[in-house]
Amino acid sequence: MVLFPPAERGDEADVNQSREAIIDWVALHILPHEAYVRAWLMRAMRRSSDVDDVIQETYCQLAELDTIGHIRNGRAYFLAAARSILLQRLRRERVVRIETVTDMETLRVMDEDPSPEQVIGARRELERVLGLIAMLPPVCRQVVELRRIHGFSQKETARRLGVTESVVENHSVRGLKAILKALESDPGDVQDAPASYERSSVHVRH
Amino acid sequence: MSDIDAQAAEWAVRVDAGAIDQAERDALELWLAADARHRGAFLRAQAGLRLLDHGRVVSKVLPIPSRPGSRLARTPARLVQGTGWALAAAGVIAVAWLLSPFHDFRTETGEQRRVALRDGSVAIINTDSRVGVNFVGRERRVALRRGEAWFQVAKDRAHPFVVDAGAVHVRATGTAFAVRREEQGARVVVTEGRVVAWRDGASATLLAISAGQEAFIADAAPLPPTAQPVRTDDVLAWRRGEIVLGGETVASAVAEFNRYNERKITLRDPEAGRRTIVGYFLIDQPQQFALAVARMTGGEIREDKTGIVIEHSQQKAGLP
Repeated sequence: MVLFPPAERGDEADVNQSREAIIDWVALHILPHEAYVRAWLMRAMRRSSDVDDVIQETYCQLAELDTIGHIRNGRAYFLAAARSILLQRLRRERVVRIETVTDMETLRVMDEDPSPEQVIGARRELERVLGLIAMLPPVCRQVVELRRIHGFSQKETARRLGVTESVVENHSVRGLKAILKALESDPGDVQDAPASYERSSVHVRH
Repeated sequence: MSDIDAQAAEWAVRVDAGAIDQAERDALELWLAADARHRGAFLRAQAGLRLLDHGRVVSKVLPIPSRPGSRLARTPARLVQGTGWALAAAGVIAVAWLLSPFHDFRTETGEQRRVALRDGSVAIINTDSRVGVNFVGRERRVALRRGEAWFQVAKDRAHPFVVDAGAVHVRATGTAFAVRREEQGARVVVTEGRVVAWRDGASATLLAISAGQEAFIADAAPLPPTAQPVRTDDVLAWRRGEIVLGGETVASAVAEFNRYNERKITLRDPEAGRRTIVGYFLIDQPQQFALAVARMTGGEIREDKTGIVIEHSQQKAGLP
């Protein structure tokens, strides 16, 4: 795996470009759908720690990809990958929760026929990014805005805020963690998010 | 957030700042090589930063919202876990204040009832049960004639709270516990505090049962009963409309579902009945449970107006 800018490892420029392309693709076509996929898994698995594990394993698979050119619909791909990991786990553990089966039927249809409505509008996506930044605590938010929105270097950001670079780094890490956390639960594609899980099971008479 | 995610975020920020030296670079390569999950989390963290960079493109077009939202505080786990009791709190379960010291309650198959008793105690009565309340004497007495109920007992040391379940009796002062009347005796599960239980003909032998324990007290047993540790949330999952199976046999799970549903499940595969099953199910979804059993055992289900039949399948090759 190659992680560094091409200038520093010239002979691997092509590989780096494809790594950059994958990061870009994950940023725009996978990460925004994480809350959706989590909600779907949550209906199937119930326990959030199980969901975390499946999501984690899905990103592992994505990290092993060499190219993303063959993938048409990010969300359908994400769902299909998560589903196959879920199935492996269910088989391995002999844990059967049948809510899964129902949803898999729905999912199968979705895989074959991704409708245009399932793709988030780019503009809405960007509004959402700005919304996420706005939710950060004040100092953290300033750092993230200067670094990401205004594109200042870490050094320049530190100078402007009158703090050390390591303070800027710490706030950047904190901000990134908060935003990744928010992406877990904040469905960007509200209009076609999966129906919230409802327990229809309490039969009670008055 | 897991440690891996936290470490991945740190690495992503440091690589992005372009300020890491050869030694750190080697450390990162080592970290990534150590575990596939590290590579996945690192990709996700880098993508997170990249997503933020896209904000740069539109920052001149769109104003940055300035009021902090509260969405960060919510997690999917809390939302989902909250659902069951939120429903209960919203009044799905009826509360009946009793003016009379005597009262009889009856639930039908599939029905659950929450009842506020006039001493401040609360009872949740499970499916197909009969409960009589008598608060006249020195004791608060509840007769569990059939079925199961969970009691949250209001503290009143002067008036002990006694549940009579046939020949089995359970006494508490201020605590929470469930009693289930079965064919040969009664099962007691304690969720808070401690109760004492005994049976007719052996009232000198008191069994203490504490929170997190259960005991089965037979109507006529050769041996004195003992209290066992139990996952009370799982055995009392019915209060949330769930059945939690933690390795019970399929046959006993079928019987449990049939307590709650008029559409009975029939298992026509004795071998499958001896298999054990683990899972979370909704009480009122017997067909989903039946489907799960069929999948697990390679069987088939057939539904008609009266019920659901799980049968042994001829071609077992169709297993997933």
